[in-house]
Amino acid sequence: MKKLAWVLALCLITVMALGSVALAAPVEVDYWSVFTGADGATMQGMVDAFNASQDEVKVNHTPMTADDLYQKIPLAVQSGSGIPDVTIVHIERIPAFVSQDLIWPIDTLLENGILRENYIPSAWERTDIDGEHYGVPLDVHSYVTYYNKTLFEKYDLNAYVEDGYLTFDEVKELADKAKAAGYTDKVMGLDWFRAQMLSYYAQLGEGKLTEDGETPSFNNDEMARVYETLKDLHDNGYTTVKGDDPMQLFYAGNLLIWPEGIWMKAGALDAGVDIGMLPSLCYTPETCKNWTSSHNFVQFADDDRTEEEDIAVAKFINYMGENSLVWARDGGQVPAHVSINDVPEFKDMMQAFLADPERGDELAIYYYKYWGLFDTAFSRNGFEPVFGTMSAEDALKAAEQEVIDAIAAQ
Amino acid sequence: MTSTDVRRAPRAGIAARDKLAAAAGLSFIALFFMSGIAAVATVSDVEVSTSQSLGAVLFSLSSFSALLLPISLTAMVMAVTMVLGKRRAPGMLFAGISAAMFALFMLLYAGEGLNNSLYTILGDQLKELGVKFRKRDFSAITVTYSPAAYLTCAAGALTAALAAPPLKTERDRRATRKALVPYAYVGPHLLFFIVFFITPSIYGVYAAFTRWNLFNDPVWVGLENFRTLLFQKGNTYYAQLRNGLWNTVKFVLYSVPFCILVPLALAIALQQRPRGHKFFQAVYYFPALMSITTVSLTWRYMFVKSYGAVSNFFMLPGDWLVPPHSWIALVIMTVWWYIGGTMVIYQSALASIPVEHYEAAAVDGANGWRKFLHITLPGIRYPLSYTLVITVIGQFNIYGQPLMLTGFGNQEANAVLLMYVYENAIKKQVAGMSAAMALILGVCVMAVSFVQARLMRANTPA
Repeated sequence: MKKLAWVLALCLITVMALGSVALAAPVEVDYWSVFTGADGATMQGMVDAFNASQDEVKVNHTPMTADDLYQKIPLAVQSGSGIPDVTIVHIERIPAFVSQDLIWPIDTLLENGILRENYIPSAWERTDIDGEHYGVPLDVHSYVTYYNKTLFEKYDLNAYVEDGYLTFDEVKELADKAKAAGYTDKVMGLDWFRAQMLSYYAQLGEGKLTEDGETPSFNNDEMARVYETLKDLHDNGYTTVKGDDPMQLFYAGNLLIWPEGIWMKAGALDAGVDIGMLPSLCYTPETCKNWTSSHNFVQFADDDRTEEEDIAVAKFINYMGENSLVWARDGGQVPAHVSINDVPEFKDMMQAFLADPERGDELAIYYYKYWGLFDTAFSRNGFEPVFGTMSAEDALKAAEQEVIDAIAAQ
Repeated sequence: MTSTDVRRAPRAGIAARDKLAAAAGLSFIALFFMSGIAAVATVSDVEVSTSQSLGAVLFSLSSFSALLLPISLTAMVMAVTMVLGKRRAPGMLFAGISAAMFALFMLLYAGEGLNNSLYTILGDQLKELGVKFRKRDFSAITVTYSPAAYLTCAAGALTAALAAPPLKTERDRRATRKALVPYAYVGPHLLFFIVFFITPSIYGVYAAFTRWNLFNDPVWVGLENFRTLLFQKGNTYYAQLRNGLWNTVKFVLYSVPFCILVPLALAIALQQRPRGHKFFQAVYYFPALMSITTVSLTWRYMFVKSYGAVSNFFMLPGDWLVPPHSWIALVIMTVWWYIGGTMVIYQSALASIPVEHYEAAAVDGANGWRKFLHITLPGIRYPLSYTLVITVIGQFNIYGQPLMLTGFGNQEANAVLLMYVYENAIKKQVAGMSAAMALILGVCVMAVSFVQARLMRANTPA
């Protein structure tokens, strides 16, 4: 009898133990991001670190290109199945998602530990729409200017970058000086058309793509002047030409100045180039602006998502913010979580100037409900007007008309 | 009564029943479009309601269960056709499938509750009433069907019952089995054909007459999209259709001759069985196994001016990603990818030409060219016509190569119509206009195919 009691007790303990294991099963969170390549590896590392740091939540990360994500996610929401619990999107896409009822306000996340004061205001406030809040910024990432320190040293050009800015006039001057000293390679890259144009466009006015929030109005004198500025540099031999690959030229040490995104820092360093980083090229230091975007955590509409999953998502987002130093170090980004700004290691990074609150006005974050349409139409002809194969007037007119026609046909 | 009269009597009876079955089938279709649904939802103590015709649900393009409706309709059309063609067993089968699909729709759609077409209408009403809500608050949505919907279902079942062939004798049962067995073989394919071809085609044609952003219900605009595409100068889509279609036609004209001649030349060369011909056959066929992405990226690296082999190793002048060179690049990579499949067809055709014909021609003193002209070409006339038709259709559907090689660059000099169709539908969510573009391309391909098919038929051996 006593033996039987022991066996029963043992069985009971086993069942309870198994039960407790079952109860402790982590909450699974499906997470989609727009990070591929080196960024994707860094993000996967951060997700793995989060999963290893605790037992309650398990995040399943699905990385894909931004184009793929923006095509797949509306279809997933439409079908009502396979919708991720949390997704990274670019901040400029959020107004369109809100207007299409595709994303939800993050009320539950705000009730579960996500705090407004933990994030850079310029990024956070952009997703306050009609009294609701929709996004939690992971970072801000800007279009900047890299320069080859070795070449600058060799041709004695450091005086031009001492003030931390490089103007278009200074580009011409330093190029002439370098050429006079025997430099024969390319001076400045024309790369990533949309961000380069919009960095300079924001310096000439308010940087508006629309006046009334709906109808595009970027076919204007300011945008035409940006084309003129670049065409002047191109026609006078200061830029790369059609068919050149600025990235490869810079990596090979055959380009002095390379305007590109801050996330290209790691690639340039890996290529062995001794790089310096400046804000976007500018008309004057006082009006300098950098095209800037921000990766935001958002939640797409999903009726099957439970509050338990929302709490798990909040925990994940908080972890990512508090541990985003690695995102700055390996991804080259500027974390939006303000706690990182005070970390000495971050302060020593070359992109830290973008997190300086006193220089917040230099971040030009574009915000247009029809950003996707604008992006496609505006980028269609790229640098062709700069190369002289078509006029800026025609390119802008066609792009603006394309957005108008697309809005009408939607 | 003669034995002939005995056989005729039941035939006359069957014909009458066929008519009844066909009438029931047609009443199914009529009732289908007379049916409607009503939906009621209560959110924050506010009740909102709406009603929709089944026709509107059919074309709402916003619910998974609604996809059962075109399957049901298509099956009933097939059932009526079968019954009128005096094939009662398959008529019964298709009518049964149609009724089952319809019943399944009624079951699932009511359970789905949150389908988008209803949600959009009810949500708009709530917004107008100033109610703050989320989609999940709609869990209490209730769907009811009009009596006509139940009658539709009954008409479907009646069609199946009336079309049922007699099963009294073993002979009847055997005849029914014999009539249905072929459908067991083609059934799976037919199902996929209806789900993945017929249904999207119906929706695609419908979408061409709507303004639709993929998220909300399509809005019927009649011929407006076609008016814009064909006549509205200055509109982006007017320009895109012209540029895309012209570039597509140019690509067809440039590439088709080479896609025919190069594989033919290689097949003839391999037919001579030179040393290593098996190896070369494998080499020529190999690109056909690759995806278009792999092919395009590989060739892109070859053609890039700054580091590609074409400019830097072979030292060929010009930028091969800029017109006119880009057209040559596109043709080269397409032909390279295309050789394998066509070459195998030619090899098979060449092997079937009796060698005696060549020997007799040689005795008569014919040279190689004359042999080719008078023996080889007539001998492969039919496969040649066939490959011409499928190659033309294939090249009209050009998409991957220009997308990955040049994209919309160079002022859209190599942008073909399918690139615009995809970009407008998926990237820009201008799905109605995009469907209209696709429909115009489809009509063009059908017209060309029709002419070619006529020519092919004229060349087909009796």
